[in-house]
Amino acid sequence: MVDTLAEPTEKQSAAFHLKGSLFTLTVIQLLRSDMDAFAKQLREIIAQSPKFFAHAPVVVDLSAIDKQINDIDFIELNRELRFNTLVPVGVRGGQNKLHDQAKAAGLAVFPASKAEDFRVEKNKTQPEKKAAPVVKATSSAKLVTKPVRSGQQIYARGGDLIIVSTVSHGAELLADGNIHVYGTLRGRALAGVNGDDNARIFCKILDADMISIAGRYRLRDEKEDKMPQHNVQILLKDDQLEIAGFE
Amino acid sequence: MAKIIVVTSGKGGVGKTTTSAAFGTGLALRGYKTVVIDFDVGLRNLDLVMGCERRVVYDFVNVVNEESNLTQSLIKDKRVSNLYILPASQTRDKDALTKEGVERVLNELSKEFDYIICDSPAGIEKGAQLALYFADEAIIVTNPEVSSVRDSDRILGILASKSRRSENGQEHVKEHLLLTRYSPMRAERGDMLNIQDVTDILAIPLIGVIPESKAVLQASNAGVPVILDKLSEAGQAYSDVVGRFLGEERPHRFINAQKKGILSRIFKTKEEETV
Ligand SMILES: Nc1ncnc2c1ncn2[C@@H]1O[C@H](COP(=O)(O)OP(=O)(O)O)[C@@H](O)[C@H]1O
Ligand SMILES: [Mg+2]
Repeated sequence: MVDTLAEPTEKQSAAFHLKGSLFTLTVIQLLRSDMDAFAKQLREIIAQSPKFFAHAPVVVDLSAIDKQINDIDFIELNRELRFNTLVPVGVRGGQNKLHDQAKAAGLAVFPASKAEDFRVEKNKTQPEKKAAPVVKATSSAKLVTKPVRSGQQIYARGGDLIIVSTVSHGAELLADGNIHVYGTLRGRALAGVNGDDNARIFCKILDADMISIAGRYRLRDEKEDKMPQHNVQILLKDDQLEIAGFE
Repeated sequence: MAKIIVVTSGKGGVGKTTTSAAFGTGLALRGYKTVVIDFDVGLRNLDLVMGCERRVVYDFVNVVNEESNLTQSLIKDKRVSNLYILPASQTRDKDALTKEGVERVLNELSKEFDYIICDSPAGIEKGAQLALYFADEAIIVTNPEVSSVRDSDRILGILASKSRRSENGQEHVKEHLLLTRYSPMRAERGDMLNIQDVTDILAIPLIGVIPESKAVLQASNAGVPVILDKLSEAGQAYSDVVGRFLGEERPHRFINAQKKGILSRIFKTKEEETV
């Protein structure tokens, strides 16, 4: 992660520091310039999982747009995204002529992607395959190989969180998707924090302060769960948290 | 280039200063030119434990603020050659040290010394963060109790995210767990955590276990680092730590509760009388 850009000379009066950082953004890959088709599909997707996309920053990928196309109505695109609670921040890829139009509509231009994006799919309600845009996220699961210590918090936005180490008491894991811990989980783990009730927590050794899926949670002392437990998964069944083994 | 080692813990009173004095002395006894720096500004007790409090004229804060130079401020140990102490100030407030100043002093010391030992203040705030910032290796001093283990865990998190090495994306600070004030009998009775409990939670390599021992208090009252008390269990355990740090194989000692048979009752060791 780049966290560079020197701080300004430390005067008492400085109003801000400049910092650089990397973020995970949702990418909408535009396949056609037809704004009506775009609006229709977008509304369908948002209706299926409103919480999942609420106020998510969005980058529009133009690399799949036909080279013959000279105009995209970015003003309309912006309006449609905002109407559906998304926050457009910029475009990437595609032709330079489109970039100028995007800039004129107040969007930033990001460099074209090198990495393979992954497809965001909610297993509950499969989006129809036929229509125009495909919603993607720019990075796959978040992988952590060092212990997560007390006081630390790790959030995997838009995907899974994989910890190949221990998670201490007082540490907190958050993921929009599943959480996998290949060590002992002693802290808190919250999967499906944006409302995905199909999310699960998988755990080599479960000794957690708190577990939660899609807002339903359970504290250590509740229900006298015998801890630690080995090789378990936690899932929602009939709206209840269930700690289960593997078949 | 010296290797910089921070002795830290989060929690206070767990044995950081005792360890800094013993470990620094142990390295010097092995022939390495070693300086122990007291980062605990305002409290100043490293010099007491090392028995040089009456020789303090200028201190670490003076050097950092360029009010004195290193030669004026470094105290050469009277017993062990190669051993130097840079004491803390008793009069200054905690914020008297600056990062830039500390860096300059460490760079200067680095040219001359093999090892620089930084005795950290308690806590996880500014003072403790400054003591660990420049470290290459860290000795995490932990007592076998829940609050101490928790604080050690937090310090490990800070080492992993707020040290110079982590900020520069260099190789991680090498971490060593030192369990101190360990009482095998109380651990066996379940009155305190046992070694396995602590290593499970902190998940870093164990460099040694120092038993709870009256010899430690006696040594610090006398101003003699306990490692020089070669008859004491704590002193021997600290020698083992230095050996392991230098790459030697040393089995852990003094970690099992002794069953008191007739013979051991007759042939009481010095240690058992004093504990
Ligand atoms: N192994 C030990 N056995 C008995 N007492 C100890 C041991 N280690 C440290 N102590 C005592 O604990 C107190 C705190 O030790 P100190 O080294 O000053 O801790 P810190 O620097 O972490 O605050 C001192 O009174 C010291 O003599
Ligand atoms: Mg101390």
